[in-house]
Amino acid sequence: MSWSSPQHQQPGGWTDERQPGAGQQYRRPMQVAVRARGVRKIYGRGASEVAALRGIDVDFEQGAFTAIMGPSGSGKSTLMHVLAGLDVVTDGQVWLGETELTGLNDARLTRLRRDRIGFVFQAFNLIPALSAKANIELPLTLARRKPDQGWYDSIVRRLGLTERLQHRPAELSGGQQQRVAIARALLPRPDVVFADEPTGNLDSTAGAEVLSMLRSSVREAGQTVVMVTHDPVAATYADRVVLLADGAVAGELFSPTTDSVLDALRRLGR
Amino acid sequence: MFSLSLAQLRSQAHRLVATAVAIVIAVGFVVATLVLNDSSRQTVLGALASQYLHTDVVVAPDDTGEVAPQTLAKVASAITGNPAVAALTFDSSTYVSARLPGRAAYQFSQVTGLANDEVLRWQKLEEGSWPSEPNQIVTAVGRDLEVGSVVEIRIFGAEPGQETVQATVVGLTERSSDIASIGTPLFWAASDQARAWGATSGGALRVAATAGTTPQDLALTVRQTIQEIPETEGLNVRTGEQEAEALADALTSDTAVLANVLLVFAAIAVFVCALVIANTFSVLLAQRVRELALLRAVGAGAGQLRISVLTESLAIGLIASLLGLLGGLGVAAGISALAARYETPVPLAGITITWPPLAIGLAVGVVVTVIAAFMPVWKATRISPMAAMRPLDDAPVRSGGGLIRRLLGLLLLIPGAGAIWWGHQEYALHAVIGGGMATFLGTLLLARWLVPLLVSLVGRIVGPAGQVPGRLAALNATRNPRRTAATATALIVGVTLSTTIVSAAATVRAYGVSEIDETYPTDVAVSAGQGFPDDMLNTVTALPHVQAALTVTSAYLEIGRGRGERDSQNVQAINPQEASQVMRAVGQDMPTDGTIVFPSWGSDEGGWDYADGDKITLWAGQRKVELTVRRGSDNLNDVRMSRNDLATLKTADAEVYEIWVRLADDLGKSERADAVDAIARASADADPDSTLGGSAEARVSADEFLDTMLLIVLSLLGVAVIIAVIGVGNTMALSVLERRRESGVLRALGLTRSQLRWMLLWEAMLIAAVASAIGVALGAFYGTGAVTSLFRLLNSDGSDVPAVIPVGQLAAILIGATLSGALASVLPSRRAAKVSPVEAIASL
Repeated sequence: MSWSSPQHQQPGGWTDERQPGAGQQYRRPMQVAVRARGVRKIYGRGASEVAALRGIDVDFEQGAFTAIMGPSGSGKSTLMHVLAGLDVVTDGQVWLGETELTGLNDARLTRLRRDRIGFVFQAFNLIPALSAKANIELPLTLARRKPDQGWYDSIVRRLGLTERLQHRPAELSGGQQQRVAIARALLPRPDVVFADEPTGNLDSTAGAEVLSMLRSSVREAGQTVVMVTHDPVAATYADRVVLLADGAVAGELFSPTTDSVLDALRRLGR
Repeated sequence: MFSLSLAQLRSQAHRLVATAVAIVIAVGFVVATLVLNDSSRQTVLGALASQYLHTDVVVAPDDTGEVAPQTLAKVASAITGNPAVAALTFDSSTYVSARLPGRAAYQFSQVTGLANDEVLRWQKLEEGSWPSEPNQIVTAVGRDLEVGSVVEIRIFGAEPGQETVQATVVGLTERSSDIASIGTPLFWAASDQARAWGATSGGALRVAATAGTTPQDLALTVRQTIQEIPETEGLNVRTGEQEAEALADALTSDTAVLANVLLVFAAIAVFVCALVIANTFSVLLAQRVRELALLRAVGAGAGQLRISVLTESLAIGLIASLLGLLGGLGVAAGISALAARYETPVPLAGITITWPPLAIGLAVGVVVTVIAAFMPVWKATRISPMAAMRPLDDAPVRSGGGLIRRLLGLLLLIPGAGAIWWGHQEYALHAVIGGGMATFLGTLLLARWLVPLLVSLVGRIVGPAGQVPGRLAALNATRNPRRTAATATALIVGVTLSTTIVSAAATVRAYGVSEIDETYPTDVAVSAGQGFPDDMLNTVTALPHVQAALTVTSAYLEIGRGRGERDSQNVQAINPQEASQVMRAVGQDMPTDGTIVFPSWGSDEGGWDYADGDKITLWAGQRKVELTVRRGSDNLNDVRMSRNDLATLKTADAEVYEIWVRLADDLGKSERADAVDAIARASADADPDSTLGGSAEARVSADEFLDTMLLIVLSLLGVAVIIAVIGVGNTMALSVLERRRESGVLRALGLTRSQLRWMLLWEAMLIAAVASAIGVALGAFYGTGAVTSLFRLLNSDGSDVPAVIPVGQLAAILIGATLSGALASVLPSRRAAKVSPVEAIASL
């Protein structure tokens, strides 16, 4: 299965064909999708206490593709986990849109993840027992919602999965599995998609395809995407890069290039 | 490599807990059985040895029983006065009916004379004193009797008016003195008293030697004396020691049979345990594939790996078996302590620990563990070093190559089923049993193919009811068909066997009830002794739980053919209309108006030479009536006619002979017993000599017997089922560990904690339900098949016994096994749900 670049895709690939122009409603610049205020995360107690996040204030704009970067141990994965409601903060507040995540109990967090957040993992993390189609529909099935057929068809076609829907994850290549994971994240039209090193397990070609996919979902469908990565090339696909060091925000870049990212990282390293 | 095995064992200890528990239970079962068998034999030998401690020689009739009772007396008088003989006594005994205080019914009991001579009186008095006055008895402790209790004894063949004696218990002996009288209560009385109650024939003559005479010498002397007395060929002369051993052999042969039966159950438990062990190791090793490959990559040979992992299995087998030994000894000691205080079918006092049971238990545990672990180990260690380099594969396991297994399964199943059918038709029980075993093995072989198929089928049907968790569970359950099948197989074995027993018992019970109904068509029959008052029928009808009752009258009439000779005959008269309401089965023995029914047996033996259809005449004074003869069944003992026909004779001396009672249909066991009790009391008030018969009592005791057997067998099989259920929990626990990351993803994607728990419970229930459904289906077929084939063989007329499938009980087994599967996976599923999604996803 070869990947056709966005340039060669027929026009309107991301828009819902049954609701023409539906994609436009996501274009509301300067709206904040995810907001963190004074977020601290401390692991362990007493002598073994480790502060993974030491007071983070950051906003993630709606309809934008933001990358979180930083050296190993800078707390970028931890930040993503607390922003996504996978983990609870020690201190501070996190909002998803108007909803404050901090203080929600497990059941409400679970429901919130199910309904309003999409995930793309480094290790794909598809459910081996389910077909690609069932994997894509899983979050909606969990929510007992029916997928929007037009949106579903357009995602599947756009991701080039039409021929692979009945296959089990084990029968798919790494790139294909990650595309299934992206489809799974996009189908419920979540408020935000969190991607954790989405290219980490892929070769560079497949990685580039996946990143293009994520970017075009932002550009063409107004999806908000927050990606954690340590790959400067991957970061260049984003609109903005948030740099973390030692559990605190250490700067940001807009319209990053490989050089500017490498330069920023080098400065962090000092 | 050895240190690696130990390190593995330490780090994986929690994963092996369930396996260890299974081994402990199985080994404990084996050890307890063997130790109890040893202990029982030792108990009997010990008790009998003390019984014959001062008896030097025993003269007793051999099994042919052709020795006249007087012969022993002749022997006794011949050796009395011999210088080698110090004392002698007859162990004469008789049977009586005894009613213990507070009981309604009489019990068949034995009264044995005590030796007059202290030396030969072996019973050990624990409490009270020896009998010194008339009507005093001694018995062993443990029969709900105390010193001062009064036992009512009815003596067979006593003079009228002296049949009933109130005997007082004056002493209690040790439990072990009673060792030889299993089941029948045994009383001892002074030898004169025993003789007065009918103990005239001696069972054995016991002789004590004078000081300086060895038992062997005395035996020689006695033998020489006996040769001079005629008709003593059937007498055995043995020393006390020989007699004790011979008796012990006879007494413990039953125990040995019991031990063998128990060992069969133990073998089943061990087999189920082996399945659980094999399953555990294959899961554990599957989780360690990368690690094993890594070891191969750094230079470990496949053989080294194999030995390393087998060492692990050896260690776990050894530790668990040692715990099993302790557990088994504990259980044996507990049972023995309990048994020593009550009358039990197996004589027990203390436990005897010898090496063989311990060695066997240990060997069984260790060898079974290592053998069960061998296949998974062999497979896992064939891994190529390259596997360490490849990314972890989440591919579902496809079990290929099952063709031979499937063919073999079918090869056993189809001819096996054929053998069952043929054996059933041709009265060949061996073919039925062989076929049953073959089909069972065949089914177990096919389980790997059948179980996943059924699980996915059932999962598809009931999955939607479980929402998303249900559907995911159905998919997960078939992900590793081999593991699912092995888990299910362990349960299939236990459930099949339990169901077989339950269905067989139900069929036997139904057959027994129909036999009882045929033999005793009335629930309760009260026979008059001195005579009932006229309103007796009303009294009985008014009692609780009595649905209907009728009176059977009897009269002496003259019978004969036309003008021929007349005989006087006692005839019973029953109203046929009433009979149809009171009797459970109105068979061929019930007269209708115009007929008279004779027993079938009278014709050859010079009784009534009337044949079916003969016309005979009955006279009462001048009145007469002509009736048609019918021959009844073997069960009929009287001549019967219709009440209406008797009424036409207007005989004056007809009196109430019996009252037949039908109890309400829906009575429980205790209600039925109460009803019978009430009738017994009412009739005893009206007529002290009245007696009770009928099916109600027979049914109560048949029910009790079947229930007891069922309880024992099921609790023995329960051990296998418990091990299998532990296996289900074990598989779930290991699957949970294996799918940790996947669970994390599902949680991240929005599966709630309770949904995750439900998913795992569903999976366990699906496997358990399918396994127990297969087991129940097989067991119902085997149980009813075995019993119907057996009765086909036993019933001379080849009539069929209807198979009864106890739907309620089978449903209970199905639901029970399914729920225990769910119960067993509660802990694993809770653990899985507790893990935070972040941790689970991170733990690559």
